[in-house]
Amino acid sequence: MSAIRGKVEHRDLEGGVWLLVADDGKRYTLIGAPRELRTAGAQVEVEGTVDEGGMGLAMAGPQLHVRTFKKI
Amino acid sequence: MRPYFSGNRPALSERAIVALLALLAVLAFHLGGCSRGPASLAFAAEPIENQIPGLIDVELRGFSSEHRALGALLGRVIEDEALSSGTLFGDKEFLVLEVDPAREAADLSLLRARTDVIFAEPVTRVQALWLPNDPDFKKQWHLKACGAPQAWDATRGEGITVAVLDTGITVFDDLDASRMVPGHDYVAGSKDVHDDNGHGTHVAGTIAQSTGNGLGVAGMAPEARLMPIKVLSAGGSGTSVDIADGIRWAADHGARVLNLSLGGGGRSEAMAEAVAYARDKGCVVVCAAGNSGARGVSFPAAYPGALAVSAVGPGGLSAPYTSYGPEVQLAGPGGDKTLSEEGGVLQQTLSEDDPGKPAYRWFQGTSMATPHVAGAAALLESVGVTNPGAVERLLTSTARPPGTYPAGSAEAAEEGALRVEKYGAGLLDAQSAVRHATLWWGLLRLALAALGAFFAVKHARHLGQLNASDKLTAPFVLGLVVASGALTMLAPLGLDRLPLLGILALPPAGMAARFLGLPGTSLVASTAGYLGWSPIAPLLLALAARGLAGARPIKTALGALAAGVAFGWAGQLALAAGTRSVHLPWLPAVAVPVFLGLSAVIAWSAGRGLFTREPLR
Repeated sequence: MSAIRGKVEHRDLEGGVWLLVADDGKRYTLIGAPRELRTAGAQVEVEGTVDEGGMGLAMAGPQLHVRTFKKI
Repeated sequence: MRPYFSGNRPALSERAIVALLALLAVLAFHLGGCSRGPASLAFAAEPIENQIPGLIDVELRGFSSEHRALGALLGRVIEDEALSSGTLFGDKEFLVLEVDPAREAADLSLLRARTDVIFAEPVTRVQALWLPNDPDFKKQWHLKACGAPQAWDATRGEGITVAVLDTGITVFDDLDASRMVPGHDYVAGSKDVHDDNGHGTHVAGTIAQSTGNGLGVAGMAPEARLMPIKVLSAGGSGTSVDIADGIRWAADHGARVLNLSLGGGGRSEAMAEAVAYARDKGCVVVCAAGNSGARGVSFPAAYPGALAVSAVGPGGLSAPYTSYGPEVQLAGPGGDKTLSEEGGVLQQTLSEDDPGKPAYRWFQGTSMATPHVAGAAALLESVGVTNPGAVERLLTSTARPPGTYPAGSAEAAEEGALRVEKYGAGLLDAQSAVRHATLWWGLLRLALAALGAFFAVKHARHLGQLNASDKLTAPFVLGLVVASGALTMLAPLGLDRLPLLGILALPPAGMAARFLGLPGTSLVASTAGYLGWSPIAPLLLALAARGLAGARPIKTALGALAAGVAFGWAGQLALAAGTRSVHLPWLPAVAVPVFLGLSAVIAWSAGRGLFTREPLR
C-alpha cells in the first residue's frame, strides 16, 4: 500500500482512461477510480496498491488500484 | 494394343501443355505469396490503389468563404457542404476539388500543411460487388482502408469462431445474437459475460458487427461467431492467471481466432504457456502491442506465438500512442483522433451516459487495431487456411507499405529499423490476403491437379491402357475441378455468396469445416477435417468404381468421375502440403506436410488405378 500525490489526467484512449501523473512524473493507470476522482486536472493523493505489471485494456504503464483518495 | 507413342519423343502439343501448366504453377506459387518474404523488404512509395486522378476530398474547420476561394485557386470546386457536428466537434466544411492530376500530389501536401485542414485525401473508388447498407458504414474509413469491402465478396468469415478476451460483450441491436456462442466469465464479482465497461463490445463490433442489416455500422468478418471471454473487470483490469485460463478455455471450446485487446508489462510464464498452447491447438492469437507511445511491446503481444499488432491512423501512419518494438508483426487501423473525432474507429458499444443503452462511439487505441487483424484472420480461416502460421504468413506477406491508407498524410513514414518496429511487415490489407488464399491458391490447386492428371494419362497411354482417341469426359473434368477446390478462385467474384454454389468454392475439408466446425463439436469437425485432408474419400470412391465398372473403369461415367475426383483431391492435398496452410489437430505441426504429401500420392494412385483393372506395372 502506498500513497501517491499527483494530478489526475484523462486520456482519450480505449474509450477513456484515467491516469495519475505523480509529482515525480511517473504515470499510473487508475483502476477502480470512483466518479469523484475522475476530474481532469485535480490535485490528489491516492492511497492504493501499485501493480507494475498489471494487465488491462489501457496498456499504458503501471496500474494504481485505488483504495482511498483525498483532494489536496 | 498399339502404344500411343511410337517413339520416345512426346508430341509437340503435349510438351507445350506441360510447359504451360508448369508456368501456371510457378506463376501461381509466386503470386500466391509463398515465395515472398515480408513486405518490409519491399517498402516503396506506391500510388494508392483505385485512386481517381485529379479528385481530392478536403475537410476544413469552420465555415468560411475563404475555403471556397482556396478551392477555386487550386482547381474546380465540385462539392461544397457545410457540416454542423454540434458543439462537441464544431462546424466543418467539406469540399471536393477537381485539380490538375499532374499537380495532385503537390496540392495535397499544400492542403495538408494548412492548420485549418482536418484532412485532405485523394478520392478513391471502392471496387467491391457488394457494399453494405449500414448507414454509417461510410464513416468507417478503417474498414475501407484495410480492404474489408473487397474481401467480403469472397468471404464474410462464415463458420469461424473468434474469442474476444476482454470486458465481456453486450449484444445490442447491431450484433446478431444468433452468432454469439457460449463463453466464460473469469472476473470475480461479475455474474456473466455481459460487458460492464464498453471496451469489449466495441472490439467485438469491429470483428463482427452485423453488416448489411440497414443499421448502424459494419464489422470485418460479419458472419463470424463471437465467443465472449470476460477476463477484465468493469474498471478495465484483470489478472494474468485469469487471462491465461481464458486463453486455454477459448482454445478448448472451438475458437479459431483469439482477440486480446489487452496487455501489461508483467511477464507471466502461465500466460506465455497458454499462448503457446492455443497456438498448438491451431488458434491465431492476435494481441495489441500496447499504448505506451514508446518502444516496448506489452505482454501477451510480446510472447512467441502471438501476433502483435501496432496501430496506425487514417493515413496509414503510426498513431502517436502506439507501442512498438521488434515483436510487432503488422499494423492495423487503430485510429488517430489528434485531428478529428472521426479519425477514431466507429463501432456500437455502451453509451457513456447510460451503460444500459447502445451508442456509436469513436475509440482509438491498439485495442482497436487488433480486432481488424483478428477479423481478417477469421476471413482467411473461413476459406480453408487453418494453420495459424499460414494465416500470419498470408497477412504479413500481403501487407501494404506504411502511409498508403487513403487518407494520406503530409508527413512521410519512418524509415529504417524504426519503420520495421513500428509497422512490422506493413499495413493490414485483408483484400489482398483473401485474394491470395482464394484466387491464386485456387489457380494453383487446379494447375497441380491438372498436372497430376496429365502425367497419369500420359503414363496410361504409354502402357497402352488408353487410346489416343479417348477424350476427356465431362464427369472427369467436373470431378477434377470440384475436388481440387479450384472453384475458390471464383470466390472473389462472389461465387461464395450464391446459395448452394458457395459450398463448392472451398477445398473439400473447408466445406466440411464450414458446416460442421461448431464449437463443442470439435471431434466431428476434426474428423471431417481428416476426411478432407486425407485420401480416404477418393480412395473409397475409386475402389467402388473399380468394383462396379468394367475392365476399363475410366470409360464409364462413374469411373471417370472417380478418377477426376482423385486427381483433383491430389492437387488440393499437394497445395496444402506445399503452402503448409492446414492445421490437423491430431498431428504434430512438422508431420502435417509429410502426411499431406503422402496423401496426395495415394489419391493420385487411386485415380491412376482406374485406367485399367489390371495391376499397375
